[in-house]
This record gives sequence, structure tokens and C-alpha cells, in this order.
Amino acid sequence: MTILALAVKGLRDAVSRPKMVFVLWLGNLLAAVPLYLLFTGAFNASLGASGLARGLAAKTDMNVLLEILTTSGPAIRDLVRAALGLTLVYEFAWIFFAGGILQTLLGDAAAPFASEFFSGGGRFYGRFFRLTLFSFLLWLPAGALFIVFDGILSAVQSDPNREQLGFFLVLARYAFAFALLHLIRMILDYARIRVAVRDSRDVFAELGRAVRFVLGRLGRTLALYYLLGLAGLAILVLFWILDSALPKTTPAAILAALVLTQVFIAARSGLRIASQSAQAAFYLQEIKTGGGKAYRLAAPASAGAAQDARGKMDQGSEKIQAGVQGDADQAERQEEKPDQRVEEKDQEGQRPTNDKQDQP
Amino acid sequence: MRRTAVRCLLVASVLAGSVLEGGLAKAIVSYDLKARLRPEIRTVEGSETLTWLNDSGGPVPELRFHLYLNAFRNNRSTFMVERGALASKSVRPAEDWGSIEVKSLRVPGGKDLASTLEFIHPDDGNTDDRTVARVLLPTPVPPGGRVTLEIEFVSRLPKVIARSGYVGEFYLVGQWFPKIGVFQNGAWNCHQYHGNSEFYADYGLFKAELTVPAQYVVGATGKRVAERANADGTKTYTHYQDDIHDFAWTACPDFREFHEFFVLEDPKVETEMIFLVHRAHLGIKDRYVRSLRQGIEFYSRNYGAYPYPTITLVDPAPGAVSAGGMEYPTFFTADSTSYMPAGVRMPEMVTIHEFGHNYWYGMVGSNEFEEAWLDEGINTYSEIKAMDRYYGADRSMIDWGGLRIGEIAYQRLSVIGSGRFDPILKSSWGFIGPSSYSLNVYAKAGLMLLTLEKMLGEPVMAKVMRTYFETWKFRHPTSRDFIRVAQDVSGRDLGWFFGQALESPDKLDYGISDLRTYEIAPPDGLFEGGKPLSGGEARPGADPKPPRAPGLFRSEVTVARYGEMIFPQEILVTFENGDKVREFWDGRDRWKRFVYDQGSRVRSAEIDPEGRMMLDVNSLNNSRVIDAGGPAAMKFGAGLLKWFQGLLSFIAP
Ligand SMILES: [Zn+2]
Repeated sequence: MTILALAVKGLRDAVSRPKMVFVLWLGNLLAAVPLYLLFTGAFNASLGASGLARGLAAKTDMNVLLEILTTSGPAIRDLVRAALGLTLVYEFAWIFFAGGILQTLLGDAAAPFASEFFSGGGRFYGRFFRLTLFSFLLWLPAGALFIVFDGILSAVQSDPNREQLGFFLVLARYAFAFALLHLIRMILDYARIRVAVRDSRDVFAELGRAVRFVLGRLGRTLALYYLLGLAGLAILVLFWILDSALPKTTPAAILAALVLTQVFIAARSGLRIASQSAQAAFYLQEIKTGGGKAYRLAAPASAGAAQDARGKMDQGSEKIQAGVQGDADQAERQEEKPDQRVEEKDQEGQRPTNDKQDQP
Repeated sequence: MRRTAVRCLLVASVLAGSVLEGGLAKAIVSYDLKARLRPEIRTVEGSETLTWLNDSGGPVPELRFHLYLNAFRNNRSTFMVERGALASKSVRPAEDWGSIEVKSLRVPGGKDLASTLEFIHPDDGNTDDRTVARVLLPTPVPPGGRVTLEIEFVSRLPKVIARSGYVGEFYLVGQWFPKIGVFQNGAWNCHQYHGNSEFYADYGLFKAELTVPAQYVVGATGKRVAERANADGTKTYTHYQDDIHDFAWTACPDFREFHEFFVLEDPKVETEMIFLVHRAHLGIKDRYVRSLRQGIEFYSRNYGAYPYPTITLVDPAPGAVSAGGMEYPTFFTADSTSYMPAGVRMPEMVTIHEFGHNYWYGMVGSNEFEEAWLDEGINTYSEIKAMDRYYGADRSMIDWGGLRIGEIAYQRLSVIGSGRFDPILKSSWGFIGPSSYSLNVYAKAGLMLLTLEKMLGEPVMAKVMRTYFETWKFRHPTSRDFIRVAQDVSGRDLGWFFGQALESPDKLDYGISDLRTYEIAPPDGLFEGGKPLSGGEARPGADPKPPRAPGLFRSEVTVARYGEMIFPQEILVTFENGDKVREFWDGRDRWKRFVYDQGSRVRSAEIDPEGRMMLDVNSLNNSRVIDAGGPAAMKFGAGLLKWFQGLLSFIAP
């Protein structure tokens, strides 16, 4: 499939899984609501009776807001602490969600959503948690790359009088850091897909192989990632326009804005599913076709190992089991197996995640 | 035309080495400066012929000089120590330091006195500080007499610091020559250069011949009266100005020079605006031009006509931020970058502010060492008025992408968040730290004058300011003089106000501490001769229960003084039926309660409803409503939720 077709497939997969979108949205909302309650409680307690603060409902006056911010140091500290705590909780929750998403996408399409999602979340939690920790190691080469990039830009900007150039180079630094951040996120995506597809326990090795996988197909992986990123940007812009148009001066309008926010978050959750699905499909397609110059497919697996893996899959207990990993060569060898499984499912007329992948 | 003729005469007489009187200011000093910029060694080689008039009633045996550049000589100077240099482990390259060395100093025909120069440290006794020196004269200067000194000096310019020095090929040459102190009240007022302090000097005539490599574009205090190319590839520019007390100049090959004229009929103003804009900032030029026009117009109309023939705006080179936002007579540095959004009014604010110093530092000769607010505070007040006038009070600082912030709010923030350590009126090196200095001297002083304006009314305050300027221009006023003018013009005793606002660190904060309303309960208990009425059962022969007033409500408004500063208060109480009651309170006690029994409940109460207390550190407690809550919390809560949910969705790993 082409990159565009993969992206479209991902989006369709997301749209066809409203329950999963709902769970991801709910997770986001539940993580954020305590902050809302904390804020409104503090605001009403200290400013609820203030005529000046009440006037802000009708007209947002930045001058008054700044005064509130200046005089509310302890309350703001509490809010920031709460936000950091909630963010941490959400990060941990998301590691669970990531397992659920992949299990649902790659697993038994006929199984009930809840059992797939939650069993997947639990099943991969430890591995994805370790994977997330290991992914911090990627910041070392990324930091080195940034230092090199920064050095090049500093050399370009040898004349301090070219102030505007300097300004744009600062923006370029931010853009580069942003790109590195997303590159690492993308590598982590593929590492999770590898772990899930191959049911691997050596997550560190999978992270390394994900790096090789991505670097071997940098153009296409980035294209897929940013194509869906572009969709995310479009959603953001649309949300921004609609949200700005809402006056937010009456409770009804504020409620409407809240609902709009939830639609936006749901859309972003859907997009995350789409991204996982499209990347998983791309990964499976790549290892099946052996595409990509830098990616080396090893010699065929020994009949016994393949048989062993096939047998496990047929048992249906491990939906996406792809064989026990041995040494690196063996691991490479075994990469073909999930695709065999996919083909098999296609033939069975079921509706697996990758149902459209071979008919772009 | 007449002034021009007088000026030509003055130039001629200065060149002859004498001091003439007849300008706007009494000329105490006359400087004839010669300077040669040697960029390769970051140095100005200079000479000055200084004539000083003893305007006191007694003989003066010694002279005192500021040698300001020695503040940047090493990390032991008072300036550096006060700026934390002793705690800093970072080593500055040798070319970053600056200094000034007096090579020779003599009365014409007399012997060289340079070796007798003695560094003194009148403020802090720091023997490492070399920013003030004194010299004993061969003969004292008699009252009304003059002394002329011929001085040769070398000024090594620092890497730009405290609005002086160089960056690349940009030079801002300020505080660069031996400058005599002010002899007043029988003593020298000649302070060391401090971490926070600015300057103080006497009026007179300044002429300077500035020689630079020919490719440099030069700007300087005063009007250019001559220009010549020299055989050695340099050019010499001669500038002259009277009625001023300092001289600064700038040179940079990357300046682009623009000239525009400013003309005003009432009051009569004709001046040439000279813009030296760095080539990297040409996009900002129109903003400089517009805001300088606004500044000249505003200050001329409100305080007095700008009297000088020129005003020079210098746009510092990129990387020379520390050179930005500095005032010298008829010459100032602006502050901007080439990517400053139009709605962020930093260049405008700095331009108007620095131009404004021509009034409160330039023409009104405030002592910035001892009473810095007389310059910075009054100028902050004036600048706020000008910015609000031209850009709108609610958006005079920022009006960008829907974000609107007014300058008053911006200035209030620093005062709100301040400690209670220092009053506004204090010597500039006596503040607990740099932020206390700036928030008091700039923001709090500006807000104090805005509060005063609200108290006196705008027309009276306008007259106060104009009278103060007219009375004290080209002289050296003190805070007492300002207070006297304010009292005389307003006809009010303002000692209580300035005593608190200017001389104490106390904060101003009043608020509505409680607001409640309830229906008055029916009579219960013993009435009319002690007969019990409780229980509802009237015993035979007892008086009937007094009838309950239908729908009578008691409303209580409690106002409180949270700060130490005492300020008479007005309170506006609004009832549900629309009735409004205004109450007055002298504000002395810690609290006061107003009680109303009437048919309508109180709806809201507001202290200081006209918003006079600009110094109030908490305006959120100034108003209170019965019907608490409302959608404000929900509105901002929803906004917070939006951002937080968005953030979470973005950072999910
Ligand atoms: Zn200033």
C-alpha cells in the first residue's frame, strides 16, 4: 500500500472503533477533570464574591487576570503540582492504553472490544513500561544531533548584525528539537508494534531494531507519521476556529465550548489509533515484502520454529503470538510470520486490522 | 531666529574659553571636549577644558570629579560589588573591562595636578572604588569666581554594560569624560557610581569635537555645528549645546541616518529629529519616528515646550541590548529588535520614556543618586499618560493577537508582588536589591502620582505638573519641592499622602471584608415591662406581640484596611431595588461596618468605586457581591481544561 493508502486505512480503522476512541477520550477527561475541580474550587473560594472577578465572565480582561495571577501564587503552585501529578498518572495510564490499542488492532477482531483492549493493556504493560524507560536513551544521540545542528546554525550566523536571520535560526532550533521529539515518539511507536506483533520480551533489542527499521525507511516512516500529523493539525485548526467563535459569556456557551473540547479530544484520540494502525500495517507490509534497502531479511526460519509458532497461533490463545525469540538472526527470520497469520485471516474472511492492507 | 543668533554668540564665546550666562539655565560649567575614537583598542583619547563657576557663598578649595568609567575597571568597584561581582566566578575577558585615566590636569599655565588626584569614597568607604576623585586647587575659587582646568584623559570603553560601551563596531560613549560634581549647600554632591544609581550634574555649555574613522556614522548630544574630513582618514564632527548637564555620543558604521522635523504651534516647538537606526532594524524606523513625534507632542503640550534644536534617537546594534533605553540630554538610546511585533509596544514605550527624561532628568535637574523617583517616577507617570493617550489605556503595552495589556496593569504587577522593605524616597544604593529599587523608583512612584491625580482631579494634577516643570526647570529640586508645588497648586495639605506613599514602604490595601443580608427575624423575648412573649402563646392580659415589619431586611457591609497605609475611602452600596448609597470612611480604623434596615436586600458593595487607589495592591477584594459564584470560574476552568486536555493528548508517549 502507498503511504496515503496506509493513512486512509488507519483513519478508517479508527472510525470503525468508536468504543476504543471513547475509552481513550474518557481516560483523557478523567485525568484532567480533577484540575478543573481544583481550579474552580479555588477560584470560587477566593474570588467568587469579588465583583471584579465576576465581571470577567462577561469580558476577559487580561489586566485583571494578570493581577489574579500575581496575587495567587500559592493557589497556582498547587495547581501546577496537581497538573504535574495528573500528567504523570496519565502517562502511566497511556502505557496501558497503548497495549490495549495494539491488541485490539492486531488481535482477534471477533473478540469483544473490552476483553481485547483491557487484556492487551495488562499483557503488554510491563514491557511497554520498560520500553518507555529505555526510550529515554534515545535522547542521548538526539542530544548529540542537536548539538551538531546548533553548531552549524551558530556558524551560519556569524554576523550578529543579521538579527532577523538569528531569530529564524532560533525558530529552526525549536523546529529541529520538535522533529527529534517526534522521531523518538515514532521509533517508540514501531518498537511497541514490534513487541506486540512478535510478542517479544526483549524490549531493549526491539527498541534497537525499531531504530534500524525507522532509519532504514526514514522517508516513508516520516511521511506516514506526518501525513497523519497533518490531519491532526487540520483538526486543531478547525477546533481553534470553532472555539474562538464561541463567546463563552453565558453558562450555555461555556458548556458548548466544553463539549467542543471533548469532540476535539475524541478526534485526537481517534487519530492516535489511526496512527498506530497505519504504522502497524506499514510494519507488517514491510517485513512481508522485505522492502527497504537497509532492512535485511534473514534466511528462512527453520521449519520447526515456524511450525511451533504457527501451532501457537492456531491455538488462538495468543492472538498475535509470533514465535519465541532466539538470537538476532532468528528474530529477523521470524518477522515473516505475523504476515502469514494475516493472510490466513484474510482468507478466512474475518475482519482483522490489516484487512485492507493487501488491496490498496 | 533670535535663539539661533544667541547660540552662535555662545559658540564663539565657548571657543574663546569663557563662560557666558544668558541661556535658559545658569551656566555653572562649560566643557570644551575633544575626543578621538580608536576602535582598534576600544579607546577614546580625550581632552577637556572645563570652566567651573563657584555659585556658592564661600571659597571652594577643592574640586570633585566623577570618573564613571572606573565603575567597570574591575570586580572590586562599588558598582560591580553592588551588582554581585564578588559572588561571580565567571572571568571576563580583558577587553570587556573599562576605565578612565586622567593623564594630566592643570590650571592654564600651572603645573600638572594629575598626580595629586585622590580617589575618595564618600558613600561606602570602598577603597577599591575609583569613580570619584578630588583635587586640591593651588588657590581656592572665590564666591562668584571661576576656575578653568585643562584635562587630558584616556577612556577605555567596556563591552556594553549599564548603557555604555561597545559591541562589535557599535559604540555608545556615555559617562566618558571627567565630570565635575555639584557644589551645593556648601559641600560637594559627588557620589560614587553605584549598581543602581544614575547621575547628577550642573548645567552649562558643552562643545565637543569628535574624531572617528571616516566610515563611522556619528550622533551626539546637541546640534552639529561643524564637520570636516581629516588627512588621516578620519572625520571630525563638532557638536554644541547649552542648557544641558551631560554629553554623550555614539558611532557605528552600520547606522543609517534619517532627519525629520517636528513643528508644533501651541506651544511653539521646532526641532530636528535625528534617527540613527542600525541597518538590522530599519523595519522599526517608522515606529521610532511616530513614537518620538508623540513623545515630543505630549510632553510639550502637557509640561512645557521642548526647547532644544535637536533630539537624537539611537537604535543600538543587535547584541547591544545593555546600551538600549538610556537617556542623555537631547540624545537617547531606544530599544528594539527587528522582529518586534507591531502590537508589542516596547519600542514606542522606550522611545517615549527616554525622550521624556529630557524633562525630568534633562531640564529639571533631579538628583538621581539621592531621589531617583524625581526623574524615573515622574517620568514613568508621564510615559504612562502618553502611552494611554496614544494607544489606549487597556492596551498601551500589548495589543497583539487578541492579548491586551495596559501599562498601568503592567506597572501594578511589580508593586503588587513587592516586599515591604523600601520606601520610594531613598538613596539609590540604599535599596535592598535592584528589583526593590526599580519597582519603587519607577512603578510605585508612577502609581503614586496616578493616585494623586485621581485624588486631585486631572486638571489640578496637570497644573501641578506644569507648575513643577516651569518652577524647577534648569534647577535642582528635591522631593520637598515637588510636594510644595503639589500643595500650593491644589490648595490641599498633602503631607499625609506623601508621608506614607513616598517615605514609607507600607502597602495600600482596602477591601470589602464581609457583605451579608438577611430578613429581620420577628420579635421574640421580653417586651413592654418584661413580659415574656416567646412560645407564641400570649398569656391572658399580656401585651400583644409587636407586629413584625413586612419584608424588612438588614444588610451589613464591612469594610477593612488590610494594609498599613491610611487612605480615606468611598464605598458604593447597591441594593436589589437599584438604590445606591455612597458612604465615606476616613480609613483610619482597621474596619468599619455600615448597617441598613430596609425593604430591599443589598446586592453589592464596592470600595473605591472610582478606582482612585492605583497603589492598592489588591483590587480584587475591593468589590463584593451577595450572589457569589457565577460563570467566571466555569469559564476559566473550561479554558484550563481545554489546555490541559490538549496537553495530555499531545504528550501521550
Ligand atoms: Zn528612565
